[in-house]
Amino acid sequence: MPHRIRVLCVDDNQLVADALRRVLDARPDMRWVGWLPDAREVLPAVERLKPDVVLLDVDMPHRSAFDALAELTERVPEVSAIILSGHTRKELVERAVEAGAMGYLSKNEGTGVILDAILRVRRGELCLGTEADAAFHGQ
Amino acid sequence: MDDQPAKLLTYEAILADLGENLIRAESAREALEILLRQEVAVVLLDVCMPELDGFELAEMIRQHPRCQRVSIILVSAVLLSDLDRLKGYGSGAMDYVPVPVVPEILRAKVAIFADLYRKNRTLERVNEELEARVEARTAALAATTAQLQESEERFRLATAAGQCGTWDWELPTGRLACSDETLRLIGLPVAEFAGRIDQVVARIHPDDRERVLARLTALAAERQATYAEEHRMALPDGRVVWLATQGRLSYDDDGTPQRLVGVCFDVTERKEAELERRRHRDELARLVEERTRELEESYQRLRFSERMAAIGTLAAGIGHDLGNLLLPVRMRLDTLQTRDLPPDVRRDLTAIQKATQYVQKLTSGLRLLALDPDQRAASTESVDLEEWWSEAEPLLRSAVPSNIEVRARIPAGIPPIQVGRSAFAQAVFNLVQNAGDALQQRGVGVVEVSAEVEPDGRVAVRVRDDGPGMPEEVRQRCLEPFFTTRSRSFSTGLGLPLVVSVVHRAGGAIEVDSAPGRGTTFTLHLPVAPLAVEPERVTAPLAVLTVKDVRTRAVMSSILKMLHFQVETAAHPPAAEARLWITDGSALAAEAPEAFVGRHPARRAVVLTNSPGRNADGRIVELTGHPKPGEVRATLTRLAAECQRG
Repeated sequence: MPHRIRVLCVDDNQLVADALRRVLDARPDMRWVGWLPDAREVLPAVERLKPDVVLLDVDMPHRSAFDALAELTERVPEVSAIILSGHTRKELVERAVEAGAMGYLSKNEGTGVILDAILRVRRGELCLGTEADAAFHGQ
Repeated sequence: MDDQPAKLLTYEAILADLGENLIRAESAREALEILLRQEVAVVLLDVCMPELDGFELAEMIRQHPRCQRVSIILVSAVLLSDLDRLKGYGSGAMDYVPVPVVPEILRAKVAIFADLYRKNRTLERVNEELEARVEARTAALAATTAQLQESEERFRLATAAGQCGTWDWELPTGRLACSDETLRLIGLPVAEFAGRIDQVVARIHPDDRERVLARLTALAAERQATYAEEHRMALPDGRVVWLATQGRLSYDDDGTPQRLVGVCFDVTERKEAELERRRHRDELARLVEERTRELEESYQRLRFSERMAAIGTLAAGIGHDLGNLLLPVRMRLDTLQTRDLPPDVRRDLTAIQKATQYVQKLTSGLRLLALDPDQRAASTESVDLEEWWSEAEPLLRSAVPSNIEVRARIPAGIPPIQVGRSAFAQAVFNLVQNAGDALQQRGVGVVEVSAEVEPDGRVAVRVRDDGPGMPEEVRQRCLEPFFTTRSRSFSTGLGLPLVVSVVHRAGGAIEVDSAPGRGTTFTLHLPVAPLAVEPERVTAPLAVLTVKDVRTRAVMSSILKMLHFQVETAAHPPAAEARLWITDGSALAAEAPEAFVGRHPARRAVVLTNSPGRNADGRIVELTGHPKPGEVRATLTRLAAECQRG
């Protein structure tokens, strides 16, 4: 049985998490491992649940997503983080990439784009959505 | 007067009844003193006196100027011959009365002479008075004459100095008398002046003539006396002078105007100063009005941008939250889509997906409304309008009903404009869709997309329709967010604000020209994109990444692809055709970056190292520590240009 990409979702919106779970459950190559409503306990959760990919919202209470991202990059570099955010301003995308994010997607992207990004970051690609790509590569 | 007091008593007794003032004198000296001191009407004089006889005294009295009107009556008892009488009359006496005196006769005679004196005195007074009055009148007349002469002299001087002319017009005959100054003022040589009013009327400026004549007619009709007018005179030498004329109109008993006498002054300087002042005032008023309008407009613009900013922030916030909520909805719909569903459920699903797509579009529109200054700077995309039209035409045609024609007038050679491709497409799409809506009621019409280079170097992109146009109040508000003239189910009121947002982000401006019956034209003034200095590339150069760190590799790879490199990841030394090699030093044993760049002048290398100090000649760049994406991008962009040039 091929390895299924293990995905952890960190988002304060449970509707997003639940929907994502439904999408991932329908995929043979991916696996939902869990959900956190904020980024405070992200490192212990990663150590316990061993995800390959962490989907990280930017707007969350209690702890900055960038702070959590930097911690993950430092402590568990083998885990790929994808930012999933409503905001795609250049400085946000740059900051995320600098902190070690392998992906940055707008919440307006379609389901297919999100699933594709999960596959691509696992192949070592920097995966930016349409809006984030324009923001990152624009001057 | 008598030297005998008894006689004096007798006379007093006789004359007492007359009621006159009786003065007694007993000597000639006393008599003379009294006469000089007081006014005396009648002297009753005794001829026979010791010092001076009556004749001599009478003569002395008569000779004195003060006593010329005194009536002297001589009285004598002795000298009564005709010769004596004659002598008496000769001495100036008026009568000669013999003694014994008949009282009645003496009384009568004195009364007559007193009365005569009185009358004389009255006559004299009247005469004196008359003379005094004549003298006073004469003096006054003399003074007046002098004054008049002086005044005339003054007037002459004044008229000469003040360029003032005089004239006298006899209306029934039309005869006109003018001073030389008047003739000089109206440029009529004295020799040519025939004394006719029409000669002067002909000189009145054509634009003023009717008014002046009408004024005179009106004046005469109302029997007004004062005439005052200012008008221009057109002189034969081409000059135009302003004359102020003032006159007095006199009438006969029937009310027919007879004579108009007056003066005229040259007031050209004053008039021109007035006109100049009026021009200044008008200019000032115009400036004030213009400034007020500008202020009003900038206030309106400020208000509009403030509202746009406020609503933009609000809308972007709503858009963001809506987007967050839509994501799970869309994900679940997508999951359902993969399932095997009965046809009716699938139809429902499709309908829900359509509605969701609409909300998604609205959400994107809302998010675009946020006026983020960073986004403007970030826009480096450019649009070549000709090329863009060939791609966008089908999309734009789909935005309007098929019976409405969509055409373009984009001349060749329009420089590319600096605006995001998708944003520009969305903006024009919205404008075309709007135009289509405007034309929908009529069923047929034309929507034209045109472009031209403006004098300021920008490019004007116009979307024009020949539809019904907008009333002014709609035109003014049409760019406001959520303003719509259509029903909410068709319009979000965000179409045009989105266009505004796109144009502003590109650093451009938008203008709306519309009026009922004239159609509507939206003009987008957009900046021209800076000239790209991208060299022709036959094939994309190859960049090789020998980088262990997955994140660094991913970022570098992403940037290199943007810079039009083919990217290869290799643990081994780069292939022969590689132009750029990025290495973290893990393959240094096999190949040194110096050796790599040494084999071709257009080769460049980037070394990621924690111990810099390589003797690089610019063809090898060292990046230390954990370089930020911005630094990586700047370095790779510079090196890319060098590689691709060689």
